[in-house]
Formats: sequence, C-alpha cells, structure tokens
Amino acid sequence: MTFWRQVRAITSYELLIERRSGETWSIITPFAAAALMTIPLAIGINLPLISSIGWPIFWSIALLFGMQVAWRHVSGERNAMRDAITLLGVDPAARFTGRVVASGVLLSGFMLVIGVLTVFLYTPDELNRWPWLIVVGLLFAAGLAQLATLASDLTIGLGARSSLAPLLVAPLALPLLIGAAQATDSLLRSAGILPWLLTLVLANLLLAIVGVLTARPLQEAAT
Amino acid sequence: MNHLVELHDVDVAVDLVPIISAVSLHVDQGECVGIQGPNGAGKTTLLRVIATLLAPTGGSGSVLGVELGSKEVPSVRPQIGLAGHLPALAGPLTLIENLLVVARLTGRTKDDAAAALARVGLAGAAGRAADRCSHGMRRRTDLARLFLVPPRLLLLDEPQAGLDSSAQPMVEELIRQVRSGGGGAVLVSHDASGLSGLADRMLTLRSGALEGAT
Repeated sequence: MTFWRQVRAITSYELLIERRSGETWSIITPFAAAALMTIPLAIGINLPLISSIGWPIFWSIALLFGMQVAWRHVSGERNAMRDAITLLGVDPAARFTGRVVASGVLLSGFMLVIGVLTVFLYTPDELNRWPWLIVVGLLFAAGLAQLATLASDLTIGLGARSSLAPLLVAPLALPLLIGAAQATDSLLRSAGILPWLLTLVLANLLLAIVGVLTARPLQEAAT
Repeated sequence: MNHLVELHDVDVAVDLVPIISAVSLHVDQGECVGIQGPNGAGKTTLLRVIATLLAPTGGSGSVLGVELGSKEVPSVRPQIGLAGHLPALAGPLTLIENLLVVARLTGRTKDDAAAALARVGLAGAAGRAADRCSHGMRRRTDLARLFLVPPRLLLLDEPQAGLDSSAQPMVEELIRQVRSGGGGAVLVSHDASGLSGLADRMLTLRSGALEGAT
C-alpha cells in the first residue's frame, strides 16, 4: 500500500471518529465562542477598544482552543488501537501525516467559525487584502496540527501525558502565534506580510521535517 | 526445526522493576502454545514482547526470523495478529467502520470486512457503535479483524474472556486457520482450563519466570 493511500486512510479514520464523537463542534467550538463573548462583556461599551482587540483576541482563542482541537484525538486514543495499527505495518510517517491532515482540516473549520464570530462580535478594523488572512490561517492551522501531533507522539507512555503535552505545545507554538498575529497587523496597516508569511512557512517546514523523520524512532521508542 | 518465536533469557523491566526474568521460549510452525499464570505474572508483557511491541531489556530472541530490537522488526509486524484483553476498537465508530479502517489500511474490500464480521456472528450489529456494544461483541469484532487479516503468528490474551460458549468455535477456527497456513499461536490466560483444549503444550508463568518445557 502506498504512502499516500495510508495517509488518506488514516485521515478519513480520524475525521470519521470526530464526525461520530463531535468533540470539536459540540464541545470545543461552543466554549471558544463563549470565551469570545466574555471579553466584550467584560470591557463594556467601548467600541473602539473592542474593535482594536478583535484580531489579537481571535489569534489567542485560535491558539488556546485550537490546541484542544488538535489534541482531542489523543485523549480518546487507545493503546490497543495504536498497537493494532502498528501491527498492520502502517508507515509511522504516513500515520503522522494522516493525523496532521485530519487535525489541520478540523482546525481550519474551527478557525473559520470563530473568525466569523469575531467579525460579528468585535467588528474589528477592516483588513486590506483580506484573502491573505485565509492563507495565514491555513498555515497557522497546519503548524498547530503538526506541533500537537508531534507532542502526542513524544509523550506516549508518560503518566502525565494529557497535562504535559499542552505545556510542550504552547511555548513551541509562539512562532506560529507571532507570525499569524503580525501578518494580520501588517494587513491592517497595509504593510508587507512577506517576512511573517515566511516565518509561518519556515515553522511548518521545520515541523514537517522533524515530524516525518522522527515518526519511526518515536514509534519504536514507545514500544 | 523452524522456530516462529525464539526467546533466550529474555528480561523486561519497567522503571527498573523486573516484570519478566530470564524467559526462554520457542514456538514452532503449526504449534499452539498456551501460557497460564496468575494476575501480575507478566503474561501480557510477554505477549507484547513476542508481538514486537515491547523491546526486551535483557536477553535475545527472534520473531518470524527477525532479531528482536533490530531494524527489520517493522517488516514482520504485518504477519503478527494480536488480540489483547482490551479490544482494539475506536469506540465512536460502528463495528463495520472499525473493520473498514483495517480493510482500507491492508488493501482489502468492504465485502471482505462484512464477511469477517459475519464470520463472528455480528452481521446484524454491523451499524452499532462499538462503545454501545457489550464487551463480548467487541471481542468478537477483534476476532473478526484477525479473520480479515489472517496472521502468521497469532497472539491471544485471555482468549475466553468476555466470550460466550458460541464464540468458542470461532477462536478454535482462527487457531486452526493460522496453524494450517504454517503459522503458530501463543495464548495466555489466568485460567488453564480455558487453554487446555486449544494448546498443544502448556507452560506456567509465575512471578515473571516461565516454568515447564519451554
């Protein structure tokens, strides 16, 4: 079976589990929406301030709740299922890639929903060249998905896995957060976004290389 | 003699606590070995070593001709079928969806998956979510996975646990199928009576050490 067929099979498996369990849409997204709503309520009637913090709040919520989206499959992952997939001879790099694609798809959908909510709740300052925000969002989602999947593989077998992994992801996601937030700020100011796009692309490339190259050693280390 | 499994003085320690010590064992082609032992004796650990899912911390051994701990280990894994005491199923997925995942990853068809599920008597429950099924139904589905992808080396942890008497012939059929294909099987259980009718020879694992003719 080819690498990409395995990737496709793993991706559809992960997405099917999410479709059945509905964790992202029925639990994480409503909580993220509630978090978005609490901030304007706390600030009160200060529309210029609310507008000015709209995009920074969006990226913060995308990071904090996005980690939960990307991390959701780990909490439900069973050792027996992981063993069975290992024994089927699935290429660990294909497994890593498939899980990243599934998380990336979910994160993109999640960010789209909270993005629309941000516009509705904060009426943030209008972006120039707004389609670039979609590119930035996709790069952010891909990076976060890779980081969370890598952290999940790194922490297999550790007792404090579910609390340790987010602690690993949060600081390492800073380049993604800074890149995305600064690119958005540059779009607001009609400034160039190339340096920030390159930051995001570079972070993604680095994570992809590390993730694919370490997939097998991490699988063997976990056995 | 072609040994499917060969272990020499294998030790496994977790956090410096020995789980199994100096275990030597061989399993020949067409043979079914039963290992009994009390809870905590190290049976599941030994099975995971044979499944290449746990590297020994001492001793040496080979499985299907490949040295344990070597780089070639992943190449033999698709020939190993393990059914642990906890079924390898994704709870939110239906029984047939669980098998379809396996079918897709091994180049088999939907019909193959449906046939495997029918073979364990669960065709009528194909659309039921795994986490809404009884433990026995989940274990049967685990057996269906092994019918779907027949292994050369079959490893069953507590093969009777959670299964009613009507499922017993399915376990026997699975073992017979593996043996007739030149493979072998290792069964572990705390209950010797459950293994005696299935295994060619019985060994006892006690406090991490194997007793009897290994």
